[in-house]
Amino acid sequence: MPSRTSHKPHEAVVNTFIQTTGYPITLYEIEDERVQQIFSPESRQSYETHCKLIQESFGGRRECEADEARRARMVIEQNWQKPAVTICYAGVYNVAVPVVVNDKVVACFSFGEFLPTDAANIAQAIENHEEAVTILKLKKGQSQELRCALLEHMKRRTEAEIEELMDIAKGFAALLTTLYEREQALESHHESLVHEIHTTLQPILAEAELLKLRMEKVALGDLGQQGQLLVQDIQRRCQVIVNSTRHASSVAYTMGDFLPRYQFRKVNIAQLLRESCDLYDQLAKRRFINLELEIQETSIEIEVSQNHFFVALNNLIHNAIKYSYQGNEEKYRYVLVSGYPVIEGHQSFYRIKTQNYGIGILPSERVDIFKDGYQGELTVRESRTGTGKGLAFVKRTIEDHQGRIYVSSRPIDGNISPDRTPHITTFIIDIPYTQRFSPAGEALRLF
Amino acid sequence: MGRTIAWIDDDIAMMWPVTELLQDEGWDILRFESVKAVIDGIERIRIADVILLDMILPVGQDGDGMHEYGGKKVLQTLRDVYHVNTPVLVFSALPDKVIEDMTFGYQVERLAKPVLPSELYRAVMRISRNP
Repeated sequence: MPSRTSHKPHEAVVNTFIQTTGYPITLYEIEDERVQQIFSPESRQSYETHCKLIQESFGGRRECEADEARRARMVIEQNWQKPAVTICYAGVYNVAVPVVVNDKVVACFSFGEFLPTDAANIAQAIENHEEAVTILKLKKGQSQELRCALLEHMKRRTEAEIEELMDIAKGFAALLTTLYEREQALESHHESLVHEIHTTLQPILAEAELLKLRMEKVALGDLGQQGQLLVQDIQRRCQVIVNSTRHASSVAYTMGDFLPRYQFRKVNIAQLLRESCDLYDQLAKRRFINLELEIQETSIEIEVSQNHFFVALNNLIHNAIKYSYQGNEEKYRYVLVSGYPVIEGHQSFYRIKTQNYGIGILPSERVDIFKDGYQGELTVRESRTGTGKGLAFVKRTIEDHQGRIYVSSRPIDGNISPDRTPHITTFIIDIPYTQRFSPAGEALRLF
Repeated sequence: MGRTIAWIDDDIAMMWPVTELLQDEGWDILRFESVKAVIDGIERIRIADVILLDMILPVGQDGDGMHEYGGKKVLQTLRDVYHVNTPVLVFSALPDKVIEDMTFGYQVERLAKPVLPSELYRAVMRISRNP
């Protein structure tokens, strides 16, 4: 399932809450009309017996998630401004806490499993339980076991205790509010920066096109042709800046812990590859490296989070150039980026490959090279290290797109010491054509 | 009366080269560089053939009507308050999703900045009441 990679700080808050209070917790957001669930695996261990029975023994996990998502949607869409008690489809009560930013509910926080002590609420719980038995198609024995878990083993809370729970939740909601506010401020700041950059480029691009149109009308011979090439080059460079800022504008700290949300839409993958190569074309030329792009099937569209995917591609292509061979043999001054469809069984993938001659990766590092902060041994020896964060980001992004990534690297001449000779290093990404981002029902589990 | 464009943008000077092809074809460009200018010139805007609207308009000082106004507010004012139904072409460097949210409920065309003169020309000819 795709995950919104910005949730490291949110995850930290969720885990702190669970560790501190012992209550399971679920955080929800709405993004592009989908309710997204942020759920820590630690939460499941804290479930009451009743909920564990439904989800782990009676096959009711999907119903539970759909019901949670429905209640979260209600809180967010109805713009609840205060915490309130809600009841699930199976009769368990919990506290729903809205996270409010600028008077708008951006997320909702649900926790606690309990039964209130008053008779009316217990009666409602029993009524819901009976309906759940039907929905889950439980046998008599299972129904009795579940009823017992609800009425005998579920924590009972008085009104005063429920108020205390709400107070605890408000404190954590305030932390989350701060995180969301920061995220919105960053996005807004970047949008403003992009606007400034694009406005500055506007007259350059406009004048370039007008000049080109005028030159096309007049026969200027060789000088005219050179002028047109110059204008085209100016246009292309400006467009590269526009494309890179447009894609990267919402990727605030791509290698850090605070990342913006995914926004999935269908994208022409060949076009994205071209734009990425355009971005590094000048860098390759400055290093006397021949950067070549080979694309098959230029019409394929794949659902990706364009900003993140573009940055991931940039990272691979930049690495291929950065760690390229710097010796005298021209045939090794070569980076190939290719894209083509592959079929494996019933699944179609679009394969993106980057290949270069250069420093290389040792066989022992093929897994570690994708770890956050890891720096390849051969790059360390050559004193050409990066931050060690790029490939970790790439792997995370590709896996969140339900794709896979792997690397191969071997010395060109196997007879020479492997840490000396240029290596041919290939990164392969396979992205499936048809990705399913939501199961039947609404909630998406993020991690 | 010739064909006219009502252009609502706080930085028309930077954008002016973009309109050259349209001007060559005889289009008149009416400039409105603040919300006050829009309100004062509403009747001229109403009879224009196309409105070009920059979605990022600055907040100004209190007293000149610009405080808290932005492109979205201008669009709402034109459509809902003054019932101006001239076709609108929205300009912006903001992401598509943001523009979609800002213009939700209103029928507009969108062009992403920076825009080429030929792109603007084609867009205006496509939506104009008087192509």
